[in-house]
Amino acid sequence: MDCFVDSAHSDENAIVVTPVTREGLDDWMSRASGQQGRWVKEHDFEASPARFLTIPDESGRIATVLVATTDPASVFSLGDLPAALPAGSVCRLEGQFDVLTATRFALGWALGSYRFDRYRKNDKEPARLIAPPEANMDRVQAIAESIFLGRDLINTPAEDMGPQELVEAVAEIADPAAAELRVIEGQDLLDQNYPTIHAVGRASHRPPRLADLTWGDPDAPKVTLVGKGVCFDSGGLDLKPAAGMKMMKKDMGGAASAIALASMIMRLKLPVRLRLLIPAVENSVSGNAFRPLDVITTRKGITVEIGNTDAEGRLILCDALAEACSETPDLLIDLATLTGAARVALGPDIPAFFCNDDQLAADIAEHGKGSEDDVWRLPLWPAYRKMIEGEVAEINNAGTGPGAGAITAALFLERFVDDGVSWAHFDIMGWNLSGKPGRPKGGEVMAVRGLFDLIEQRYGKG
Amino acid sequence: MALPGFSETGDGAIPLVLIDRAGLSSWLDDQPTRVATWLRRTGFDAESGTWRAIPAVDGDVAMIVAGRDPEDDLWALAGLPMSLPEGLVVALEAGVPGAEDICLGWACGSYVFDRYRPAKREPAALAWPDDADQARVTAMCEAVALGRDLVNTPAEDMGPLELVAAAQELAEHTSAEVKVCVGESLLTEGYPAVHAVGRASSRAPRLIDFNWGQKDAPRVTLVGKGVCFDTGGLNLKNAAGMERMKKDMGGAACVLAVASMVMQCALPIRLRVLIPAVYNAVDGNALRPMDIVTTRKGLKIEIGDTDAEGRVILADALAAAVEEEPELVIDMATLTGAARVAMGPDLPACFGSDDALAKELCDAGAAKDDPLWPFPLVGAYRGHMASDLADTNTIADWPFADHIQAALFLQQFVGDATPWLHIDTFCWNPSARPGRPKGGDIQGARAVFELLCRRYGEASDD
Repeated sequence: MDCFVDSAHSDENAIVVTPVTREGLDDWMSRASGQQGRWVKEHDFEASPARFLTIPDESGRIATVLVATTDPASVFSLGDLPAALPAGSVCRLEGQFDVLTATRFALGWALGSYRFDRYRKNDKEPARLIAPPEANMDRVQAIAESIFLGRDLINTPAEDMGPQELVEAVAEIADPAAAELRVIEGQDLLDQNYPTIHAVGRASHRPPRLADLTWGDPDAPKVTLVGKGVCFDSGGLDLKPAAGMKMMKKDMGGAASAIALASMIMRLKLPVRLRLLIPAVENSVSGNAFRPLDVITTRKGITVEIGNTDAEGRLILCDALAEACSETPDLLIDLATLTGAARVALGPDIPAFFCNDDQLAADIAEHGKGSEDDVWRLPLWPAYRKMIEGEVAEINNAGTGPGAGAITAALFLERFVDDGVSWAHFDIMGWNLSGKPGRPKGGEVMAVRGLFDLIEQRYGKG
Repeated sequence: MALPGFSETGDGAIPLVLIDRAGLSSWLDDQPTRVATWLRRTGFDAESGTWRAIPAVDGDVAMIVAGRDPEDDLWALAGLPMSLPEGLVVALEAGVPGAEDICLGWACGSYVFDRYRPAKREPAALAWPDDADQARVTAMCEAVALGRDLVNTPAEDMGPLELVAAAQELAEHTSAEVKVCVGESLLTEGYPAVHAVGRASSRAPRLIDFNWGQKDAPRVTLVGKGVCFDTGGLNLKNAAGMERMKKDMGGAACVLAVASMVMQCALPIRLRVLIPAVYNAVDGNALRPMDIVTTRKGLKIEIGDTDAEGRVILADALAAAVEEEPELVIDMATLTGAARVAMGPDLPACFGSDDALAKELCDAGAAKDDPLWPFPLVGAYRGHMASDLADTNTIADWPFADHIQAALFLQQFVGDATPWLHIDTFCWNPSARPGRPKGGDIQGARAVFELLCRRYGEASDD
């Protein structure tokens, strides 16, 4: 990765980056020169979270960067440095770290060096870090590059990221891993019984698709990921207003997150049989667009009344989930930028998740917390099933409310998941509204690092 | 006081036989042909809440057979009082499991708000089962009825003065002391935020300070939002938003109901109830957007929106609550629309100063069919309430997770030293369900009482 320099590299001009905890600052000060100590005091640097301080040497160059960290170390401790330190500079981590800590520091560095430069060159190259010898750099690289791929997919405007391009992104991760990829496109979706995906995507001149990737030992436990790939969501005939439509290039954020997670799993060779299902559509307006109160007979046979054409994500997911259950996976995860209600519930930074298995839910929450990729469980509240009853069909795709829009969306999906399949549904923002260390403003894959840790713990390392 | 829906003597009672779906077929096989045929011919399937009258040979009603849900003693039969023939007295079979919950559900289902017009009918009566704790059931359902009455009463007849009267009436039957601080004296007694919100109304704001129990018993303080009507103030609500605002003192109704339960069941605690009772009105002297109020605690708050008034009055009440360092502070409030958007009408959002405490409350609620759902106090969201001029704004700078933002606001007034629970509740049933008629309700109150019972030693049957 561009943000790292090989650990064999020696550069006596490298800027020394020294992580210190609030508690460890005194110890560092006791060993610092009088001049450095004064500098730290003058700047009131107290190693509070996300702060760093550059310290000059006698010639006025940056000798050391003190950067606040915590114990245990936060992944994002160094996240601001690649962009904040001088362009093109090379940095070296100072201190003794265990593998976990060094790996976290390196991952945070990598995540903070991300720039989306497809349409405009970087004004400034990020600073580079000499790979810390203790860090597991293969892991850092696999995770960071997978996240970069996901961020790129979300950041790319819909004009350049339609259903075809999204499917090509799946091919891009399939090829190096020798995964099998099947793509069903356009009319074939009807012939192969994915009527709901077709109905949502048919109004676009860019035909809908389903990408179906499989990888790994066929006898290994089956882990299936499903990602919502609405490449642009105009709302359909229930057209969104301008404010609601503006960010809708990100409505394939679930697909991007699922692709990123699949990429991590394959690159780090987790001992699972992975399946990735990406329904990729553009929800457009046209003469043949599906309409409010149309009824669609889904792949599973359940009839769905269209209460609102802008509740299209759950529609394309329902065929994919039904197909996912056909081989009874050991673990089924879907990720989707599904509802505004989930944002009202938990804010943009914390994905809501729903789960039909309490132990799995507890594990998901724990791994999310442990990897600083927080998620929060909301209930599949049975009493709200009446909110998705159809008038003339079995169910309706728009909850009647009042409220609980994220829950009713999850209850809709639940209908397409077979009993006995451990399933978790993530309703994510897919976007950082503002930049934070290691998490630049813009497209973001969410819940994925926590899920990778969970899957690794559940099935073992590669 | 005789409880509506119950027969003290059981004179003339006919049997009420409860059957669940699983047991229906074998039960029918044991019945006389006449009974079995009648039930089969009338399509009785023992679905929860359904019932059939079994005719005697003379055409009288000999027996009622009702479907029960073994998972839901509380509500399964709660629709019967108002659907069985008026004047009927029924008796459960001896030893029916869950008799006490059945009685409580029956009582809740017998509730009618008849202040302004007589009830259309009397509830059918249930003979008190021998194994139900009559006093406890009576205490619970009187408290529920009190709470519902307070919420249902229109604001014209339920202003700050009337809310005080309700607290005083509750105290009359016990040894509780009620101190009330009215109008200008709120300023001299140190409740400036309560005064600021209520000053525009012709009905002066008040602070109710209600104390009961042994002085050396564990101190528990309940705080209830008592906005008797919420016009929104200068940030006036629209018609749809204002319609139900008589219910904006629902939190106060909840904590008075809990107080009633605690006192009638003589829970060994020192109970304090603090209710800021105000009317959020528009007038020349109304509080304005961007005014800054110095609160009881000394924190200066900038009014981002005069319609976020609940958290403002609670700020002073919570500050007063923690001054005497109680073991536990619980506040209840109809605080945010966001909590409803997130969770719908059935599930109040709850927040705890620590996760274990919130879980304790949710577990207590789940055991008593008074569910709540926990939400996180997301530290990273605090920054969204920063004020340019004061210590904090009252609202966040983004349209997300307002219930979390409101809880974070309140947390500043509670501090770190006192265990605290905050419940953002709806206090309304938008549609009728068994035992929960359309209109005012006190979601979360029974959960709080159960938590107190579990903590402070009152025996419970769960």
